[in-house]
Amino acid sequence: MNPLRSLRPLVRHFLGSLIGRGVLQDDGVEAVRGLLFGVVAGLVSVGFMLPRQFSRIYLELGYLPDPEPFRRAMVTDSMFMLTLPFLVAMVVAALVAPSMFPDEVDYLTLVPLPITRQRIFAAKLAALALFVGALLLSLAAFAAIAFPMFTHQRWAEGTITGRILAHGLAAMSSGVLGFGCVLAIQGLGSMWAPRQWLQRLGVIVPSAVITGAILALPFVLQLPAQRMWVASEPAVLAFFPPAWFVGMERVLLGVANPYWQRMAWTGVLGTSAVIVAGICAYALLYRRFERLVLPPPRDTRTGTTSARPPLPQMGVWPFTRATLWRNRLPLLLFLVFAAIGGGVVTKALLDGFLTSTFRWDEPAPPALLAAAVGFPLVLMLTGLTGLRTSFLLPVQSRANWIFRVTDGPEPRAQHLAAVDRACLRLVVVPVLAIAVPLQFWVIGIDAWRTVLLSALAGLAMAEVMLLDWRRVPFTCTWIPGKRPLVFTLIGALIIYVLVTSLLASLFQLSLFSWPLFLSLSGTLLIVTAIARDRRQRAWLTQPLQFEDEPFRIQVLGLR
Amino acid sequence: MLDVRGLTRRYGGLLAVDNVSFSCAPGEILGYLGPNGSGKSTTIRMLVGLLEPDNGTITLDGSSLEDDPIAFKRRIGYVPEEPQLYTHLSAIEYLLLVGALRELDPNTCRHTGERLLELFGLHDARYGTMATFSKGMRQRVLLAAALLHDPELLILDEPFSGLDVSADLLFRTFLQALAREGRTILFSSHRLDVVEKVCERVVILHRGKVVADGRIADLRSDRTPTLEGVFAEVTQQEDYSAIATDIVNTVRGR
Repeated sequence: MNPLRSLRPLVRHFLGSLIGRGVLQDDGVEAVRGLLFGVVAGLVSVGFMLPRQFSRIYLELGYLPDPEPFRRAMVTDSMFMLTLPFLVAMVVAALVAPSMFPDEVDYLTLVPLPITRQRIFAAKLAALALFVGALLLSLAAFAAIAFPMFTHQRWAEGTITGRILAHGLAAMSSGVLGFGCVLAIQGLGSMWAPRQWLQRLGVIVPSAVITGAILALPFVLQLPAQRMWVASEPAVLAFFPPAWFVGMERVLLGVANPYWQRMAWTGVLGTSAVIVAGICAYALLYRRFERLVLPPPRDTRTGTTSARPPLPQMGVWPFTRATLWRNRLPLLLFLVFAAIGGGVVTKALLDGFLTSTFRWDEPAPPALLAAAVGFPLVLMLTGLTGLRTSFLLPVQSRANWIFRVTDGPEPRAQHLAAVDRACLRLVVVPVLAIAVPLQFWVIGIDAWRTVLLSALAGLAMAEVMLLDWRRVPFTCTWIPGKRPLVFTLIGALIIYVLVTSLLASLFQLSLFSWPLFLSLSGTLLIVTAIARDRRQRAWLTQPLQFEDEPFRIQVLGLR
Repeated sequence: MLDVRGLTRRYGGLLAVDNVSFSCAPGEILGYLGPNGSGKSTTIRMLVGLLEPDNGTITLDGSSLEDDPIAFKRRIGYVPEEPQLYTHLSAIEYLLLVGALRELDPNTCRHTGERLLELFGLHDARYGTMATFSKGMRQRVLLAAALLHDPELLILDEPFSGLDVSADLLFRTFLQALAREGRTILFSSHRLDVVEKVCERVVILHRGKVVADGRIADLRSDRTPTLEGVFAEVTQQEDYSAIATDIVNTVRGR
């Protein structure tokens, strides 16, 4: 039998599982898939505007008599363009991380068939190579053709063909490094982590990578504005991998100075290292396949003692916490939302610190003051939205029968109070814990007012977001796309602007006005109390919700 | 005493359960039998409050499920057909969760839970997540969860699926001991050999209707001396030996 012919269906199977499984295998996948498609469509449409923007800037720079501004811009924009495949490859690798290596399901379904282990590994590796190859080629092709073409003016270094090849190769290498980093971390982590940590590793690695990528976005978007700083060739850029590939591009074009040559070498070494680490992970996993994928035999004899520490009490709140931390999709959604908020506030705070001189014994500059006052609001808004969204996702929804058979007014009140507790403990309190020292440092002793207002705003936001909430987290089915994505995005934007601009400005003004402070505190307290009272009354009469209700079509009554 | 009267449930045009009535006394283990699609699981889902009946009443010692579902459900323990539980939790976490949902005292719940897991041979596995548990292990956790609050009525839907021989034997003996303590047990199963050993009385369902209700000894006759024979007769089972011969012939290419 032709070995390649018998390998083909297996490669096709693994390729399908790389795309279909991974993060997107959990319950609620359809909902998240719809959301992802919407976000990707939005990003692509924004991406189409980039070449036009570059074309305009470089046309103007091309008319300047001095080539230096053109070349400085070229270096930073090139770095920006090479960061994108790096980040995209990392995010995609994180999404498919659980399917990168043969796992327990592969072991149990394929090993009993007349297929050798070599063939299983070869097929998995081939599927991964095809997937990575296709992904990186598409990423690099866009960057390699679009960027050199739209920036090719008279001060450009090298021919257009040379630039396309150099940029394409650099973009491919950047993507390989991004993907390879996640592959190596996941592979080597699986190899050396204790068995009980393997499942958690599959949750932590993708979540951490995607959160990191989102947190990095505001800084990446800031890159094109840092031309002078990059032109000063700072040593710290050696710790920023996309800069290595700018060096590689410049070496390939034959215009690299010793600084960029060093960067290029670092890039070659880094990429080689992650490729070697990935191959090592595969080789090690091949040797230790059974130990990793099969659980050790259990000793089920009775009477043995265990040294594990005592457990906390269990209830809906600990159930919520455990489900959030132990399941990829809910955790990922929560962290993505939190990371978006984190990225926005970090950038605002850094801008505040960098664009003005701050002394703790003098009044804070306006930009820094606005950032310090607004940051808990942004974090609470994104954190609570993320938490609420992740609570909507069903996790093992068929196991919710235990909540159905124990529902009643009294336990229901406790269950729903546990959702409040989740909002407080996972979002409001941690955000305030960061806000207190920072606001006191920037604002001084008067910060107690903004801290108090932020706490009240957090409570009010939680109450308003949970106004019609009648679910134990993760136990209700979810019908996605009930409202068009555009409406959701516009609504979210309006709320964001209202909370982060209007409310933050009012909080800032309340530092100088007692009446405003008192009226704001009173309003937030009243909103919280009314929303809470309405919710608590609903708990007594309305049963818990376990099936999401479809969107009710409005009947116009036309005949 | 569990008393079910005129229970009816439709799914669209399909009459899944049609005017089903039976009762089960304290200390009795009632076998609830029927082929696939006969309405067994639908009845059980109505008994535990997962489905609402279109018609009929369910009472336990005179207390109606419809009138006070919370009080009714506090008195029952349930083991579902499929071992559906939160596999990202450990066995002890799951028992503590069930205890909290049933508003049991946490310390008592914990002590009972640990002891039940130990007796069910899951003591060493109690801290690991149930994702790695076999079907039999999950089934044992569900049994422990159903017993945690010492229910008056225990409803078991295929409780022995996935259990090994020793666990199977243990549970059979345990159910009989529980019945001797005056507990009411409704036992739904396809395992007629087990039902014959455990139950004194059976209710057999076919196409949503009760087609037999009585003591196993009374249902047997000279023509049908086993429960299997009774079951085949009242549910109009096909001639399996002819089908089996056809399968063998198909496999052998004849």
